[in-house]
Amino acid sequence: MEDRKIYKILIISVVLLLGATLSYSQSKYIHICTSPGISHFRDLATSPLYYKGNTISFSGGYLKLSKERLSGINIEYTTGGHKSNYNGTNESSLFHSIDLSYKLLFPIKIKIGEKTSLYAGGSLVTTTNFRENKALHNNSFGLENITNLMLASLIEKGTTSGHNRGSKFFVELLAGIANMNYRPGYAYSYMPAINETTIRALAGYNFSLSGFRFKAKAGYRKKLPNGNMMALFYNFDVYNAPGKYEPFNYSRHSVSLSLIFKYK
Amino acid sequence: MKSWFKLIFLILVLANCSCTKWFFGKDLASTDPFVNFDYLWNEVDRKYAYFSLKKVDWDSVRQAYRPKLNSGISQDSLFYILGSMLNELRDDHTNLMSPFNISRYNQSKNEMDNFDYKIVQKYYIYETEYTTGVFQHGFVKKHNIGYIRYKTFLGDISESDLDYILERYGNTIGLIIDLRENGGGNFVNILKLLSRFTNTKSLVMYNRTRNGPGREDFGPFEPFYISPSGKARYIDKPIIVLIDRGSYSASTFFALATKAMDNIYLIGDKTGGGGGLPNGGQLPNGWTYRFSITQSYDLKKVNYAEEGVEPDHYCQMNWLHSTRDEILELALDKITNFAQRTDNSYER
Repeated sequence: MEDRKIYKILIISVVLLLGATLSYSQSKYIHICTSPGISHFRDLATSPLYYKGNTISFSGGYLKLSKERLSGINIEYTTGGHKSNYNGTNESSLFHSIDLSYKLLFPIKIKIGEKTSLYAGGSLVTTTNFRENKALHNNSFGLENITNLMLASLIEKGTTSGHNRGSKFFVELLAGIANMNYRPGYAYSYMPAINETTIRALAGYNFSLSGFRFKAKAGYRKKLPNGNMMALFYNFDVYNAPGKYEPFNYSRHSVSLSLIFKYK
Repeated sequence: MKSWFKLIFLILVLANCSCTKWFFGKDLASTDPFVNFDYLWNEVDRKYAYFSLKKVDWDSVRQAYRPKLNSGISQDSLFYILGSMLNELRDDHTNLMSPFNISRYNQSKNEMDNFDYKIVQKYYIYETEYTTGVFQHGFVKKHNIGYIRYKTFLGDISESDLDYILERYGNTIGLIIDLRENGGGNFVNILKLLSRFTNTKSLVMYNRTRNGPGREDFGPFEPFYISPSGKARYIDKPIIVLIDRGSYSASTFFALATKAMDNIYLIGDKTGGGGGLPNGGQLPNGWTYRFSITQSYDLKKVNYAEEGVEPDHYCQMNWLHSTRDEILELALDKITNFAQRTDNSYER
């Protein structure tokens, strides 16, 4: 029953968000981005220790900007090695993550300052992690999906000097309001998962509607004379996916350099 | 306005500097011996699969071992106490691993040795043995019988290797697969190998996995099937699998599965056990562990594989004969006897 509720929430969210983007007069951009960073994770189903490491992300997507709304889709791949060095032990975990997100923001007509704009809306983010830690034997393979429906807000402040006209400082904050995760079952590994020469890696997995997620971005976006843009910003992503039994904790700090090309 | 932006930046930076503690609570890493003892005892209590089959009173184990700790205990002594506690489970799928040692129950050390491959190579294999992938094999001297030595389930069995071997021995009257002292490995190899000895999808065993904190909390019986696959098969002729107390884990699963297959027979000693899938985890002090979390059952839903699968014909080595392998001799007799029968029947 809970799984059905989760599917309903997801489907309704996607329909509402996509439905709201029907054609408007808007500028369209594609963007590419790279983000070196530092991340921590802890899967309490297999270890109470944090694994820490340097990661790098590559992402791309598109943005639509109009007077009525701001929307965009982004896909991001993150990879890196994580280590736990404690009490003379040195264990490592490979980490790969794919993140898909869609956001839709509307301008809020509140006067909060000169050249300052405020937007609010929603975002749907789904993240799938693949991890491998050989020290954990038959629990060496870790996989989880975290999907969040998030409230989103964006504050932009334009610069006034002539040559930087159109460039903006910005802060974007997202907070999860419906947090879903797909995590291993009670035993983590399952003998029935090995059957008929294939491994059913997701045997025993469960959906759970629990946890939290918070994302933040803050930086500067410079508008170039040809209409393209370049942005440098700080990113923060943190989530807790409790699953039905034991939680997965994750946080990442990164610095992003993004190139934004106008194509319409 | 500028000060407002600065304030947001400051909040973000401060929140992020101590984010793990702020969002997830305190770091659970600890070298405290009591913390590590309790963590390991609880993990086993919540997830181990064989308390009742082995009649292990886990609460008494805690009472016996926890008083041996003190706050200043050395790493070596802590390892000894935790490893000894795990050995109360009498399970070779249960280990504690630290940078300086690995604990083992080591069931087979007290059992009789029933295998010497040099005897097989020197006195039974015709001319030189072949090595094809993970298998060593050859024709048996003076018999039209194939002998395959499979010493570990680790690594992947190649389908082309199996095709080659089964085509080479396609015209023999029987096949011997020697799993003595095979300590196990990748369970998928069980399916790859057995799929060559059947023409129909066969239910061969059931498994159950711990699914709750109660010591008898298990999920449903999950069927385990062998399905035919591969180009070359060996059907309608006897296959004898040699086992001993060193045949552990995947070898025990393999032996259990053959009980449901009409053309495969077991000869030797009881297998060493290891009928549960081990998990893996890490303690607050960084050491790692594993223990069994599943149970395996035969087709009558009887749970015995953890303590070993019985052979169809018991046989042991006589070490007074340094040129003779009694277990292999019995297998050759049984195959020859089968070939001489006209009704294709074979008594287990």
